[in-house]
Amino acid sequence: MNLSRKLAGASFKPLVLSLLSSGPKYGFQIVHTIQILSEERLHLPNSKLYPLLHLLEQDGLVEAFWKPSESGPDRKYYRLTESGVKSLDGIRAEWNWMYSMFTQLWNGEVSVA
Amino acid sequence: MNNFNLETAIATWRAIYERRRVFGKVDLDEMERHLRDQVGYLTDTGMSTEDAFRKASSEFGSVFEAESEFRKLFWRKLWSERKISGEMRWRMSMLGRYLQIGSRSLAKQKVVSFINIFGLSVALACCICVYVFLDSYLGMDRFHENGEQIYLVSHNVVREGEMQRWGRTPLALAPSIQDQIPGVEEVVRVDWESGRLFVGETVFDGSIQFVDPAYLDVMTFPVRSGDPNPLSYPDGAALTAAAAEKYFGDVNPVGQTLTFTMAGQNRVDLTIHSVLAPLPGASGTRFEVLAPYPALVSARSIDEGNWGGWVSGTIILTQPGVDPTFVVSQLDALVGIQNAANEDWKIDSFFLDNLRNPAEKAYNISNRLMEAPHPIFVFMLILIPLAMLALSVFNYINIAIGATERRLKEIGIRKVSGGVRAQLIAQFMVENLVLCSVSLFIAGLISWLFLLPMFDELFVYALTWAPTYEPTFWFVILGILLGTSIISGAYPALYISSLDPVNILKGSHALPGKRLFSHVFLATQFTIAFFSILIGMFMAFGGDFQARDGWGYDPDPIVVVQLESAAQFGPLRDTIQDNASVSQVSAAFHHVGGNNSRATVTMNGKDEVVGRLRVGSDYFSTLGLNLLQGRGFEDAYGGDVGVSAVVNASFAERFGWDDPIGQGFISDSTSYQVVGVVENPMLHPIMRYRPIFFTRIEEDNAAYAIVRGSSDDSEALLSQLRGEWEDLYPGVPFDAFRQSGVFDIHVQSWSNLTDALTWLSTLALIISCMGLFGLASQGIAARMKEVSIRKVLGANPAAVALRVHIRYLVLISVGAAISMPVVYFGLVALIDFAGLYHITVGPGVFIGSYLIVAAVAFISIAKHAWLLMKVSPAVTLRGE
Repeated sequence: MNLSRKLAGASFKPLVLSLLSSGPKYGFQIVHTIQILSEERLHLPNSKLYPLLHLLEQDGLVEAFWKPSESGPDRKYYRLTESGVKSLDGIRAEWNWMYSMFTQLWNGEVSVA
Repeated sequence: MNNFNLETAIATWRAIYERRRVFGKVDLDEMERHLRDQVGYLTDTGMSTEDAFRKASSEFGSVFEAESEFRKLFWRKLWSERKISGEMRWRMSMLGRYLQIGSRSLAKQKVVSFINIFGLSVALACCICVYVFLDSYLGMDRFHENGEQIYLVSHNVVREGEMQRWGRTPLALAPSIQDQIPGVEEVVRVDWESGRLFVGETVFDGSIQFVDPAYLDVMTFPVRSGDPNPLSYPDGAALTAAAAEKYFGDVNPVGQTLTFTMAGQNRVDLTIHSVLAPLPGASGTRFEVLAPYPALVSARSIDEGNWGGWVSGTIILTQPGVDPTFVVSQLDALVGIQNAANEDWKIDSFFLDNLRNPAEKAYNISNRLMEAPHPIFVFMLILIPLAMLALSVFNYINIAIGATERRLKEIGIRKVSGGVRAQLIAQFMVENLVLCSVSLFIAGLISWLFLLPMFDELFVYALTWAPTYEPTFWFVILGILLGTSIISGAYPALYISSLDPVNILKGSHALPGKRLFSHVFLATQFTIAFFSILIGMFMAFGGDFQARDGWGYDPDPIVVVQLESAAQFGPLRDTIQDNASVSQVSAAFHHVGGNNSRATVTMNGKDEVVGRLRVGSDYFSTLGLNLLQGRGFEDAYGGDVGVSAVVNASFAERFGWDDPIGQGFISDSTSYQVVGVVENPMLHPIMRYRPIFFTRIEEDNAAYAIVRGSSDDSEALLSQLRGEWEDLYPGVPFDAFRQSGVFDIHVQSWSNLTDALTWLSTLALIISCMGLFGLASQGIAARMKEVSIRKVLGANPAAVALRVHIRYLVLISVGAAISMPVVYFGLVALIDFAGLYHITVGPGVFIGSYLIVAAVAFISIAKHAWLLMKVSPAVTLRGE
């Protein structure tokens, strides 16, 4: 089952911020981790990844730095800023609330009048 | 052996991205590292380096997608990195480069550029002229400072079962407003009088606008020289700058005298006190001489309190803040007084027509004191440049797409070497902008040097063209430039930039739909060309009215002397009637072809407005006007004055009389009995015959002496009469004309209009045929091989050339089929509506116009047909 385009599009920002919350990562790492996590059902295209990272950087939610690599040229890493952490908290609360609402609805715990 | 080199492959991949300006170096470094990481990951899974690169670059996605996403952030990034000015510099340098390419392209394709520039220049020149004209025409009388408070008093009246609006006003209205209506600051009576103006020994036909002295305070007609209040003198007059030059030439008119006579009856001696400055804008009122109304009152012994009489108009200036509806309510109180005094013209209500914001459909108000813009006229005027512009734009599109064949390789190479579609579009649009700019410059010259002076001469409005003071003008010009560039350039640019470079360079390109579009555009062009040619031909043939309908009499032996006073008639007749070269002399107050008045005729309770001419005894026989029934006004019958009328055939027809003699009708409260019917005389060379009636006058009302010569040599008669007049009235100017030249002014106006339309239609045809020529030149290269092969296979060269060009003949025929019925029925309806002559032009006009277009089109493509006939298969097919 593939995610609908709109839902996938809406999930990219929370996904990237969540991934960066566990430590700095570079572009390929982010795309590759999402593919593994989603069992290849969710693909974040590079054409969207880098503009998204740059936008987050301009918004002050992430910061970038270059780090030398043993195999080839330097890599550009991204990590969360304080604002990024706060923003992720907010996003997490929203998604949790959404998740709990759907859970209640689909488990039959809510009766609609 | 595998030659794959990862570094070379990555460099090639990166080079594609580097050509896009949205990707910065840091972005590219980051993306390259991503690609390398993915290649590394895939090779670790056991894939070959080459396969890993192919898969990684494929998964990376297309450069277009990435470009589109990065573009969303582009300006924001530039802003945050403070690189906006650098980007703008780059863009300007690219624009400069496009301009350079555009100029080179224009210079390289000389014929095509000439065709495009010529057509666009003419069309844009038409646009400029029409804009300048409409700006003046629609802004008529906006320059009066008190315009918001100036109103023309008008009235509604029910005539023949319908509510009509009229601009003339009762004579006594102005004094009544002055005395009884508060809130009105000034009231001005305006009356037009036509007659003759005597300046020294020279006589001019002309008119004077008699106005109350406050006129120059109410309206804004600044005085250029002389007394600022010329109308405050009982005999004071003011001339417009143009009239000062016309009547006095280089002499300063201030202090000079001018005598005005109205139909030989009343005389007003005036002294010029001022010359007015040229008007700051177009005006619906076009006087040459202003004189005080009291001078007219005394010359004509006018009873100013008479509600039964009329003046041409009454203008009021309200006090600031006064509600016009209040003034109208006060005017309503005067309706009863007017209607009691004028049984024949019962007014329904008065209304006010503001100078700056005219009444709705003000152009429909009969006898409105000042002309108001007519939307049909505006529409017709706008149609001309739009049609020309459409022709030129179609030409451009056709030729630009036709030229694609020559530029295919350029486009293919540009695309393969990294040129993106947007760049190609920008390049073609800038090329088009260069072309349009050059055309606009030439258009400015054409309109300034030729068209605007021609317009000025054709129309009576003074064109006020001061582009340096008019920002709107430059906005409109810029709008026309951009609009034309976009409309003409968009389709070719989109089309050309969409071509697939692989197919182009393989030589297997297909140009789907190209021919269909070209044909539709060309057929549209010829439809427009036919429209203009047909209208031009109708005008030319329709203008041959004199040959078609005749005068109703022979004008050649007739000379008409205009009298300064009726008392001159008797001595003149006595002096000349025994002269061998004079066969008959008659008096007249009105004269066929000269002037007549309008009269309302009532019969069986039905009103009809017809023409009326007051003539003396023997008028019909002197003029040679055929009597169809009954008799004329001969002295032998006597007693015709005030009781008898002679009508024309059209009058009898209008009232449905089979036997008009003895019939009666009422006009101006007088009953007339018809004693004769004459053949329809031509009253106006363009207008249809109208119903008229003649009534009898005595000699003491004569304004004209109609002299019939004994031969057709009216020039000799005129010269002889001049000698006798000078002996009889030494020092009094001799004012006479030959009857055969009475319509010369009308004929000249019609001829001017026909000339202008002929010019336009010729231009339209030239532009269309240039488009055809351009298209044929573009297509010929592609046809060479086809024709050569046909020749090798034994085809007749002439038949082949004909076959290639037959499609143009089909397109011309399509244009003719569309335009001919529309033009015919449209013109018939228009001319019928406007009251002009009915069209009687036969199929000759249609056949003629078709042959003209076909012949010119044939000449345009003859060169190409000849080239195709003479093409040598040995040369053309050598490379195959």
